[in-house]
Amino acid sequence: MNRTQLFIPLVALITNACSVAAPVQVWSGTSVPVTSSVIPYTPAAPCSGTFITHPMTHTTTVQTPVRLFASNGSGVATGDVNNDGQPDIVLANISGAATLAINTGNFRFLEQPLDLPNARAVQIVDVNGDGSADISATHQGAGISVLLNNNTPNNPSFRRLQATFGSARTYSMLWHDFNDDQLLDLVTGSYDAEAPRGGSQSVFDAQANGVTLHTQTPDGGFTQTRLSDHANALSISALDIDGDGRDDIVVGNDFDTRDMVWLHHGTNWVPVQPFVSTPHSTMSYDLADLDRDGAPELLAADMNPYDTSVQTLAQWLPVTSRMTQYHPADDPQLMENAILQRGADNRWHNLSRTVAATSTGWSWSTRFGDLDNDGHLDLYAVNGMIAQELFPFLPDHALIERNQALRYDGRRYAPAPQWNLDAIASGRGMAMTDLNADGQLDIVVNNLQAPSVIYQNALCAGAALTVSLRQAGSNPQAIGAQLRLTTGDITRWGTITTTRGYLSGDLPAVHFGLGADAPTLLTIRWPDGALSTIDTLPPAGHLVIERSAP
Amino acid sequence: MTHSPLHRAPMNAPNTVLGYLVPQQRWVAAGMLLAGLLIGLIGLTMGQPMWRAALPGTILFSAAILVRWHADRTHYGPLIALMVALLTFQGGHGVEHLVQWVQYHIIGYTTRGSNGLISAANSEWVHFLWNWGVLLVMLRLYWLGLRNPWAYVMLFWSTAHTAEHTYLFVRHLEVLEILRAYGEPTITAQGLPGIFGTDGWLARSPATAGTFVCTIPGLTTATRLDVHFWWNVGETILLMIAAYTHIHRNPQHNPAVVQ
Repeated sequence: MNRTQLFIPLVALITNACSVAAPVQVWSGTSVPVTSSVIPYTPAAPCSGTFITHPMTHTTTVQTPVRLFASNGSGVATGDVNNDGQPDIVLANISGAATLAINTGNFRFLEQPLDLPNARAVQIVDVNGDGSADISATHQGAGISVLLNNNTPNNPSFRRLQATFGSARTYSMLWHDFNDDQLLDLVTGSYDAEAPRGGSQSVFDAQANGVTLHTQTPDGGFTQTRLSDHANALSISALDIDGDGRDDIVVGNDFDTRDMVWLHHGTNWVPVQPFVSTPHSTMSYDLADLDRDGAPELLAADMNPYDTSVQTLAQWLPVTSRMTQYHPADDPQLMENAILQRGADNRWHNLSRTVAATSTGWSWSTRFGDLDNDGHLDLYAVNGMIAQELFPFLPDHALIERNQALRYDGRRYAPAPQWNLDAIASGRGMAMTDLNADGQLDIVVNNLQAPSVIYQNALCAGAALTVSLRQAGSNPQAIGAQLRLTTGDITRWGTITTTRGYLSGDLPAVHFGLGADAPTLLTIRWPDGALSTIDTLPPAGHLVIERSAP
Repeated sequence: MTHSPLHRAPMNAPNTVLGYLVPQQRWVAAGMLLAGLLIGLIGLTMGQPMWRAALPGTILFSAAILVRWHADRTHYGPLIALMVALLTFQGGHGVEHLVQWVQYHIIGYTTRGSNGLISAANSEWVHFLWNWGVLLVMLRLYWLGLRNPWAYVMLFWSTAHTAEHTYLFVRHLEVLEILRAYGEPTITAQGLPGIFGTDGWLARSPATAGTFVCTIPGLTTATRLDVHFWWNVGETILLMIAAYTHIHRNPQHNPAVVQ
């Protein structure tokens, strides 16, 4: 061990304990005019202080007994597929057909099979920039598929994108414009743990393909850049890690494989390790501004029991005791959730212990969202695990855990069982979207071996502002744009993305819970770096901002 | 009825804690310690596990303390003898926690892998018995006359520490019983969360959820390894100060005061 290695943990301990958030980056760029319109929220139903459960027909069912990795389940995405202004839902199914659920209003959905067999991750995103939402998925034992929307509103139909994404078998994905050419690029990550090793049998015919950036070309094709040869990527995010104004690539890996970060330097991608601590098995990422300073925090979820009763600990111990017993000196991995914030030292420090959010269970999709619109970001984690190899001693090999809703009061998180979100249905993918346009975030969960569920938000909530963007060109929803909303001396940050949580995604809009605050200024940093400001804002509603043509 | 420290130390008695801790036969003690280290090193080069390599040194260390305790009892009386023995044993125990701290924070072992030198002894059974032993010795020292404010703080500290280990031990047994029922009798169930620390009862109890208690820096945010490192650092320091205070307040142990 050299001297540097010796002092890394000590320095990390001190800097983590004394970390100060980095100064909020000042946005600069060409000012571009915009026009805006406000869609008033529909009147909310009388509040009950709880969520109302709406079971769906779709069920992600795998062969029993459930084997390891089949247990990882599938994702869910929301987006407006038929251009009727209402978010629809796509539910992936690792061992069958996906489901397209068309929103017919008032929490009624018309479910129909979708030609996306054995899908893992799913996103609703306008891949070809024609103004209609397409559907993209990763598949078990296959590559990427993209269903391009034929834009037939009454009866949505799709055609397959013929572009090649190489032979890579992928698990997680992220659509984002990394080179400011207005075309969405794709980052994919493989899950090498599934690959057969040393002649051993695996449930799946996976391959170690690592992380690949697929850059979209003007002719609709994609060119591949291999960033890593190996990965156990359960989640991918785009985030400006070094504060240079360009989004970098962050990959959350399962098991001992460390989370990976590549900085975007010119046309090069430079691997770095900016995180002082990360989860051991990063299950999902989410981005939001927890401390309302105008800059993002990265939520990285892990497995760690929320309940430390002897019964729970005894269920977990056979699994955790067989995990690795050694990690190198500079290994930042801890078996707990991390909420990472960029410090003044340009490294990312973990806040999860200081806000009591370290442990949410065997968490898959874990998301920030202001569920009660009080101006603070709450947290929801969907939980559970079923695997013959891991839990042979439990009935049906199932670790039964409640989903965890945590309410944030601006200082720390506290369980919110009164919200009725504590289901025990082994959730995997999860989306958080305002499905009925009442200004409150509803939740869709894709469970394993149990019907998917929609949770209608009927909390007694404060005001909210939803912001979505439009621009000309091939990235019409401005994916990658960042927003800063000022209310008094508070500035909230948000980003337009269709990738959030575990294998899942939302429609490209930012929901700001306001509480009793009145918004005074909205600053938009468009994907190409141009800036727009709006200083006349409604107190609540869905704000649609359109960038004026140059 | 209480005992008073009637035993008067000889005039050449040390007047510092360190003076009592350094053996008069220091070359013999140093030789024993070196022999233990040498045997340990040979054991490590022969591929023995750390705990087995450290065992001869630990046995020699313990034997030296017992011999010293017997000699101190004759020369300085039971209070000093017991106090010095406790200080030495607790110091050794503190070293074990220091090694665990180094293994975790410096070398990079996991918390479950950071077992110190005598990993086989890093079990709930040993910690439970050890802390009850320390508490009983402290009560015996009180009985013998170790009475000063620092001794009282140490008594409180060791009582609290023992309470946490009792809580840990009871939960350890409960978990083992469930694991046996699961057909997993080989899982050690070491390192379960106690009362303090990031996964401890204070941080994770429904009773404290959402309150400031669950995010008190260190108390409810530190790992179990750090919590017990600080428990033992505190115990060792308090014991040293209590011993120092006792020696300096009691003329029979402090020739300078007698003069």
